[in-house]
Amino acid sequence: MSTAITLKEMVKKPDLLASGHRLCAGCAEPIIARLVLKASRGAIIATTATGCLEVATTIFPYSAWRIPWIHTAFENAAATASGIEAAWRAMRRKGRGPLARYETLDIVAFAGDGGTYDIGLQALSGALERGHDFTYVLLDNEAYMNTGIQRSGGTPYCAWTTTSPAGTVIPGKREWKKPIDEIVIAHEIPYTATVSPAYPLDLMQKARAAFETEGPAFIHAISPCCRGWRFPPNKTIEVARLAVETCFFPLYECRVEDGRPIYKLSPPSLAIAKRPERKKPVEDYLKIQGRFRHLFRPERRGDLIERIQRWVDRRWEMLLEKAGL
Amino acid sequence: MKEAKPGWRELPFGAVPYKSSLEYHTGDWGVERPEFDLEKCTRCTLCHFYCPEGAIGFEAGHPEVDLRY
Amino acid sequence: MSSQRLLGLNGDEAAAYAIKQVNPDVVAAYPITPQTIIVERFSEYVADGLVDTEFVAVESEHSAMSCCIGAAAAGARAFTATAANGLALMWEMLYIAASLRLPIVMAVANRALSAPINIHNDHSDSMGARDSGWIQIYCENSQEVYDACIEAWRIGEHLDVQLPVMVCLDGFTLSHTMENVLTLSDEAVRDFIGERPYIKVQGHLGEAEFRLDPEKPLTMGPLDLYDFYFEHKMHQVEAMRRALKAIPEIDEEYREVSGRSYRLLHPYMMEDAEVALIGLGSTMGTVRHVVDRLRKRGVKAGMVKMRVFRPFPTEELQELLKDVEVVGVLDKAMSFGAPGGPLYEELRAVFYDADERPLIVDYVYGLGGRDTPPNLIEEAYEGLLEVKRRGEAVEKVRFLGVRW
Repeated sequence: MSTAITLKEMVKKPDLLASGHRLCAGCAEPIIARLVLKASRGAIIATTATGCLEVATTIFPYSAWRIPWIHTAFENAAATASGIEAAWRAMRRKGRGPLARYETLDIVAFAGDGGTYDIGLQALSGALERGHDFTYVLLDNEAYMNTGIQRSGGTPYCAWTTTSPAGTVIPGKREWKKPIDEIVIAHEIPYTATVSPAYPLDLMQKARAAFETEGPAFIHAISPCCRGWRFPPNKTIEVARLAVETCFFPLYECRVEDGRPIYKLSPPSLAIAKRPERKKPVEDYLKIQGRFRHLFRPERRGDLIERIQRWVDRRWEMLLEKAGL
Repeated sequence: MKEAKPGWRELPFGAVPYKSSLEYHTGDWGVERPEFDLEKCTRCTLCHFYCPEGAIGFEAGHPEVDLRY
Repeated sequence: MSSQRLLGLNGDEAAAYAIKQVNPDVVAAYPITPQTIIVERFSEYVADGLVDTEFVAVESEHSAMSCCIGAAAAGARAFTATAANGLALMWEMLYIAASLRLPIVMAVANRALSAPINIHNDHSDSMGARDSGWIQIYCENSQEVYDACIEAWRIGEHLDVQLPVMVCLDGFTLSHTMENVLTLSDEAVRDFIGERPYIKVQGHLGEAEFRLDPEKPLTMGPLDLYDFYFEHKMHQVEAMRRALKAIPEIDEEYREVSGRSYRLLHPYMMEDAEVALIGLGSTMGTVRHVVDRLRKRGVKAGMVKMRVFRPFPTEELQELLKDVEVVGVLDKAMSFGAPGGPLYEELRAVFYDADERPLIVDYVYGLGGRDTPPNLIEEAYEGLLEVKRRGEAVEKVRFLGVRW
């Protein structure tokens, strides 16, 4: 049987993503990937969309993956995972073929925000609709970081990127972050969750829940990027925690049971729901990131900060309503 | 120091990598060096989980850093 | 030779029936005319429990190929079918399937590429994919489609080859036209294709079979930069070279089972031919008919049907055509801005260094499904005879059947 998810047990479990990968110092992606893989139940196969995680872990002739792993392209992590799952399913049914003997097989697809919100949305939607038994992990660093910080559908309002620069007329990205979780949940898949690397136990527990789910599961991880978000590499966890503490990125799970989405806030966000005075202003989150620097310098843009605060508040209230709180 | 790279006939089929990343030491990229005060350490193990490199182990019952990464 | 059953099948049905007998693990496909009958028929086989296949009705051709790649990487036998714009949409994944060395089989019901949109047959779709690293087999009739859809697995999975295989059948002309097809028993097909073999590789965690195996993990599809990418492309060069040997070997085995054999090329009346046409696909049946007609009139006409376009059978062509005076190339695709159609260019390249070589002219024909009746083919032969009389080809690239 697979080990219970506790920090005490998981610290003993060897990492399935090895050291010596070449992601930046302070990158959240390998933290998230390591934690997700620690939660696997046993046999596991991973696919990764084109992106930082993919390139930096497999620079030929080196590989950091201690599990079977494949990269095919950018927009198709979900479709590639569909194929792996279909192969497993067919072999199970026939009782023949190399994957036939695995009663459980954790199939995981890692993709960034570009590969999920934008170019990969179609393949993701198709795979969710078809109901493949796999776990999709969105590593959301809120821009195309691998190509050098270009805006994506996951980039938040006002954030500077190289294709949504903060100019003298336009203050960064003009559109709001696409509500990807709602889009995913609208597919009525059995399990969706948001996670932050600042809360490893919560992350691993949700990853385990995702693996245990029969059918598609979606994990949305906020993945602070010190290069693209413009903060020092030793602040990654702090930023990942502030995203939750300000309710910019609340942590919750959504299980669809009997056709109805059942939302459940996770402990860090539930604590804020119970004690609303603990909710920190979004400004605390914005001001430690250089990508929002133009909201504070040369002059404070109170109007824009207020607009972002209202967006956070509205979405938080909507979430509380959904969670029946 | 340059290592002679294999010719195409010697490379494994299907472009599969043949070296573990463990052989690739990224430790010298660091601008800071972790230090532990084991007197103060509560063995909460969070440093292990937070380490992007996966370079902090607890096999000894307290944090140990593999500075090669 | 095993006993066979005669069935009336159109080209699409012949493909679907062969794949039913092969019973692959995964079929991922998306509907597109004129391929759709393949996935419809196959869905029926799935619905009736006649196959064990996992049928994945994907949301696009890009995902169809991605799904096949995932499945084949996991060790499965994977099949898909497409045409024209669908093939174009999966373009990116064609190269990736071949470079990852995954022996996927795909039927392409050849159809003209948009724009303007056209559902009828030419070879612009698969000809555009000629550099993608896939083996390409072009079929003349439903029988060949059936046979190629069985042989393709053995060719692609041959341990010297390990490449995906495209079985090309002309849209409508073959896909929707019923013909007599001799079919093997399910058992004979099963015995012929056997189990998919896996090649052993030395990965970063030790030796493993080339597939996604939780026990013996491999990394597939790494980042490969200027220091290794070129070498890996050499593997593909070599695999295609070896496929030229493997295909006739497997074909010979297939002949023992079925009595039918196709090889790389089909010459017809070439022993003493002075003029010859060479081409691909269903048109070659019409050409054969015209050759017979011309022979009755005493014209020393011949023809060569190319069954396998990738890998390109260079030496066989040099041997076959060296004594012919004039060769006309039938290109059912145009490479815009190029010196001529794809087959023409390659054939000329093959003969550039040859001491003995024919005069070569190109006939681009049939674009968008333009009908190519016998009199048009005869016109092409007359053109070749004219070149023969003059001893030179003034107009090297001609457009056959277009209105001026």
